[in-house]
Amino acid sequence: MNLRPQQARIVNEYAGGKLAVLAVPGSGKTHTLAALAVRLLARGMVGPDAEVLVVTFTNSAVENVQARIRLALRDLGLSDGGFRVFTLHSLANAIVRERPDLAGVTSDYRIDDELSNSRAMAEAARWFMQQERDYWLSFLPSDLTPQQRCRLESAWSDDTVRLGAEVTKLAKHLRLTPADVRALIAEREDQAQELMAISPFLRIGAAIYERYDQMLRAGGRLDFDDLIWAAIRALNNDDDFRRRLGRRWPFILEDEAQDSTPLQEEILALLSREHGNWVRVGDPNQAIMTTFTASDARFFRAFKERPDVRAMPLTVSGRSAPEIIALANRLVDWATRAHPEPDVRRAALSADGIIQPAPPDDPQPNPPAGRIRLQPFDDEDAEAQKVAQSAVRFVLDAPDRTCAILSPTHYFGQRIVQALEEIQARYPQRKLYQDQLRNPQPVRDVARVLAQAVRFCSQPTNMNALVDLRTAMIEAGVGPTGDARDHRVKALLRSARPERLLFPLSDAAPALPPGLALREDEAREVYALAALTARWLRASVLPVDQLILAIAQQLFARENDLAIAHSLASSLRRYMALHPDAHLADVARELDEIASNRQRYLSSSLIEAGFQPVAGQITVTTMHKAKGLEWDRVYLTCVDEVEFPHDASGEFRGQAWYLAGHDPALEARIQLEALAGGAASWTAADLVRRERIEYVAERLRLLYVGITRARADLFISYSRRRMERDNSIALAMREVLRHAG
Amino acid sequence: MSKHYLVGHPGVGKTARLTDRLIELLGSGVRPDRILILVPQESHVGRFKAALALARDAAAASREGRKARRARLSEPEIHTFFGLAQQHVSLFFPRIALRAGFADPHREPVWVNVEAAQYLLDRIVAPRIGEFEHLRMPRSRLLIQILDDLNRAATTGFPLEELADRLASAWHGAEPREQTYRAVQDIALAFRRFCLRHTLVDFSLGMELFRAHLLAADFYREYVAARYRHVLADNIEEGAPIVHDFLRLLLETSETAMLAEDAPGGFRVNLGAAPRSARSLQSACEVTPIPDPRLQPDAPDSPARFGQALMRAINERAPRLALRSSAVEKLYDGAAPARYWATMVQAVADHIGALVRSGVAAREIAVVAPVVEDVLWFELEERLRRYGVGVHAVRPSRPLHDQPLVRALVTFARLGHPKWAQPVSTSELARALALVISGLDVVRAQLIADAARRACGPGGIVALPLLAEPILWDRVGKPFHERYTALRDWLAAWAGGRQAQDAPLDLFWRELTAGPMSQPGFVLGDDPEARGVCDKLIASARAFREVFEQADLASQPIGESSQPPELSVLGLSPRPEVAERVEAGQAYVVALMQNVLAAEYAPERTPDVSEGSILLAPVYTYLTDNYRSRYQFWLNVNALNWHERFYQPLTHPYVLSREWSPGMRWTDDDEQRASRDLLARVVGGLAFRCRDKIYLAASGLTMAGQEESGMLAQALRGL
Repeated sequence: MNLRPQQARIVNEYAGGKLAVLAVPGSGKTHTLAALAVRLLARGMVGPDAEVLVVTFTNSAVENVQARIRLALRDLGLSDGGFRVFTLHSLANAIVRERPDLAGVTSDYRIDDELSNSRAMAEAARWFMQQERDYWLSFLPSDLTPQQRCRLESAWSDDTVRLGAEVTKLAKHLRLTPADVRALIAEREDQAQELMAISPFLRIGAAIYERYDQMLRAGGRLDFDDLIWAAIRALNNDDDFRRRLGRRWPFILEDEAQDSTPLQEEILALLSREHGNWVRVGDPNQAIMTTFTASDARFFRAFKERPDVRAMPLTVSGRSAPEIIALANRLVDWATRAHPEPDVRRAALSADGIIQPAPPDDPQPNPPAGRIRLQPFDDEDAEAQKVAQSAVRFVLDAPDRTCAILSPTHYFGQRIVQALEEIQARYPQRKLYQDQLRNPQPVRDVARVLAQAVRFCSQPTNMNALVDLRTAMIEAGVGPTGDARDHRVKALLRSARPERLLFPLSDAAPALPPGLALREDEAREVYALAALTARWLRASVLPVDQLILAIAQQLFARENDLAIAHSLASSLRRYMALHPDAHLADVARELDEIASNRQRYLSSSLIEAGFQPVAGQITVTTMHKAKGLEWDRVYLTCVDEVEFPHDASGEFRGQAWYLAGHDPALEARIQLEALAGGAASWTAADLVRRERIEYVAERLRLLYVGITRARADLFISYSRRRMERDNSIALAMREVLRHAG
Repeated sequence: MSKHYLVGHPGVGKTARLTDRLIELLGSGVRPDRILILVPQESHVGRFKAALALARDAAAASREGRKARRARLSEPEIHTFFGLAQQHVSLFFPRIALRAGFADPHREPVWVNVEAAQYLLDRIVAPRIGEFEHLRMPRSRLLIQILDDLNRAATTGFPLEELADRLASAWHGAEPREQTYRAVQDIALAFRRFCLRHTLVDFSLGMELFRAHLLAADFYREYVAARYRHVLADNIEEGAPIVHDFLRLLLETSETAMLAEDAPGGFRVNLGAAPRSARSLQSACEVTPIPDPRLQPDAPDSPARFGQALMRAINERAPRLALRSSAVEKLYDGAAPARYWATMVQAVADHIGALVRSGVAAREIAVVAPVVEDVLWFELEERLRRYGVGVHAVRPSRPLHDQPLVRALVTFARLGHPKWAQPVSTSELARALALVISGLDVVRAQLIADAARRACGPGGIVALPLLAEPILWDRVGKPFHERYTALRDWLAAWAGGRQAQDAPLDLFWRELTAGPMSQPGFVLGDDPEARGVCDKLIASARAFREVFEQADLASQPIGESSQPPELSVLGLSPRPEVAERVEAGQAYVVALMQNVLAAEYAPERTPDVSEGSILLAPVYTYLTDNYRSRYQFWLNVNALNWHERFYQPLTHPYVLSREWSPGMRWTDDDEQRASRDLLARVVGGLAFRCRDKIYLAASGLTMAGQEESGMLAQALRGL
């Protein structure tokens, strides 16, 4: 494996113990980890029944690392094996699976993916809103027109779901069961109420958490947080078990350590307690999952500072042009030294993360020259339009290059997509962009094909459904090949008698109307399609998840697609358990919702779903999801004070004007944290301020992630007026650009 | 000594010795009804029946008229232990009921089947569900574990009051579990009290009555001594300790006995199989180990030899032990198995195809896997069709509601009870029709259902309409017209019949399945397995109703009238809920479809594999049903569930056994040893049941796209 000196040092010198590697964007973290795993194996440091355990953040990183290690082992003439690559969740699952009884579940426990998870949360919140409708409505202003009322109810309902989700997430992070939360609230009520009265939002959140938990418990289901918690329980409940796993995995190599939550970190700490061999690689400056996962860069930094931990840098990066590197470094410098908020200076970015460009003879040299441009626009419309036009010009001129438009919000990303849609209409021959805002393309493709397949199974006499299924299959590149626009085949399928085509009887009445002369390839396609779909129809008596698995086994060959199909299948099994009267048609509708982005499936990142940028096509996505990816040109939009605030005053995202400026989720969260931590002397205002400082810091890191996605060109934009208000460029960006001249 | 204990590998002829002994006994003039034959499950009855027939023929041929006549007059008793215990408990019930604590000892007891037991238990658990907050499992799982605890206490022989102490002392985790175990014990005791109050006898109480009030009683000893002079018992390693207690009594009271133990064996772990407890009977017998000719030094290489080596590799934790055998073939290349699950299934299908083409009878081939999913069955069937080979799948442990035919019968129940006002969707109807009418595919069934929907109008399909459009039947086919109409007429007659209005659901199903559905052209006319499913459902519904009536459940309100605890944080006032009266049939359907009833069965079936089909079975079913094959395909050998038992936090097969002494802890090391021991027995049990060759199949990724590498995979690395 070709290694830079910094990388080689880590690989050659490490022989055991705890090691923290601080790695800047593009410094080859994964590459180095894979090389280290191979090195440990090559030196015979891992016994016959043991494995090097590699933990990465995403499923696709798992495949990537596996492939690299395999290849390197083969090159060295070593036998395959001796290592395991997991995500933290699949590791937790592997632990729980071995001894579910220790974790308080039975062997047939099920894991909730994010889709069923968000569905369950919405259902729990809806239950609450119905049960306590009057109480719930009492939060809204009373003097409203019917239209206003309707709009506000819908906004309040969304916020209630968010409230429930955030309280649930935090409670699990603090390892509080619903009963614990209830007890904490009751305890506080017994005390004098002088300091802090219990917020009604915490009560509502707690009630939803309890309901949600009850729903999951009744189904034997674990969401991702429960799974981590369950793994810790299992490890803590039997020392023999923990030691056995420690022997199985004598080395632990952890990637993206800055995103590990304290609970996740605890799993690895427990596993390595005996041998202490634990390598953590991460970049605290890219910790942007805090809000979603209760992770925090502080934990990784604290690990690095421990006396028993050795630290080694990985600061050389060949990803971006010198101009981009300089900009990213200036952001780090400004944030740590000149940010107006002292707390942000300490918390946001780490000066250890200064990026060094690769030396000229490096195997992966930096792009020679880059371009940074700042573009203010009058309003959001103009920003969306102009950015879209500019990006289209770029991909038309440079079809061999990659390009992305990144937005801090899902909402503005959609405006970009609308603008691109209009332009796309003028270029029917070329696909200009990929909408990667919500459900990543692979998930949508799999869901769309499965939706059509299930729909056809639900109405096998409807030949239009078969035609739609065929189109979806061709578009996704699976099943019998054909041309989706072939009107002859379509017409022919529409006029066919389904029963004769799919289940021909021995008397052999012709399936297709007489007089249609079929080309040989057409006939082949039609009969192949008939054979395949007849098979699914025979399988359609199976339970829904089994039907979907049967379809998937025949359609998909890619690991990732199979994994997606499987998680969709189990998610739908849960759906059927919740709705015992649902039919196949309802299942098809559920799948449609996912395929068409109306229901969120995976929220974390594009790379998670196996996405790779395609040259000549614009990727539209959020800055969060762009993590781990790179493009030749990147447009960063909405780089303004709304999205990247610099202080804790003023208006914040999450505040609901109809609740007189309250942010229900935030208030409930900080109060729960205070109750659990016993920080009773803090005032509510202190707590709010603290949360906001953390938010300001995280948005700075998000900006940093955005900048470091670009290889050569970085186009930064904002609108002078946004949401009918005056707006200005984010202070951080103004400062670093000013220093750039 | 007249008491014999045979022990040996599967396939060395132990059962043959038992049947020889039976023929010998009958030939020597012993009264047949003085002979008791105990088998581990119904499916084993066949071999002894065959031996009986043989004995009868022999007797007839030998012209010993007197004996032959007697042989016709009386029959030896062939029983499973539970069948016999149930019979005896019923027989002596009036005599033991008072002492056993029944509130009304003069009342006829009703036996509670698994579904009804779950339903009753569910009502006891419901108000206490909060006590299980830190556990995550479906309600049905919770119920199954509590029933399991009840059963284990009864078949192992410890008082229910000791349950929590036993579980708690074995537990040594960081988190406290004692409260939970107490709650389980309280609920189990409450269930027991409920049964005693309403003269209901569930499995555990039946066992308890047998153990505490029959086995120890002098009158029963005398009865048994007079009744059974000769005892034959097969596969005693599969029995729970209570079975061995009974056998011990029989060894004392009978003239002759012959017991047979399969080793390796004891696969009904979850039903309390206790091979060690069986072995304790050896002290009262003359022990005859039967050598395995396949393992003689000069015997050719065989799966049995491989099995023995693999058992050693697993037991001695020697994963790299070199295994060499010509009787085994890996269908994957060492370190790199087929990547995908589907590829593995295809490879298996191709090898089976080749075997069949080379002249091997399909039924001599078995495919086994730790779990047989619907998809596996379906995929294998599809892929083998090309070779003209069928798949005979035997699968235990399927909850009723997961069976398509059961769902079809529920659909027809709705159509036969328009007063329930539960309309049926076209796809439900299409599927139900396609399932019960032979030869009807889903597309043609859908055409019928679409027409029915049009004919029914706005209210949906609550009853089947008359469909006479010639165009429809031209497309679908004339024969299907007659069958549809027959079904439709029957349902209409039922719904309209006066006495049918109040007739119980099990009667509806019985008449439906015995009537139109058994006519030629319907699935029950052609398919004995489907018949079995129907019988199961009908029996379950009937037993459920009997319990329902015995305990007068219809008049007791369902549902808790308290506020859900989730809302107590708000401090708002509670709201009462309305209680409603339910009828047994509807309650049954609701409980069935909402998965409250997750009872799993070891179904009774004959082990014959149909002609032209291979056998597809889960590993444990293959072993406990005692199949034999020339060729075995082991699927997913990488999978973890080859060695993992089904883990449940509220019950424990080892801690609640007789080998475990109170105060001992159960650690992960114990667990590992137990897993290893069980896996070794399983692979040995399989290999000793295979004659010619074992094929090992694996894929890198499971069906779910995950990598696994379990204990079996490790042991096979040295192959």
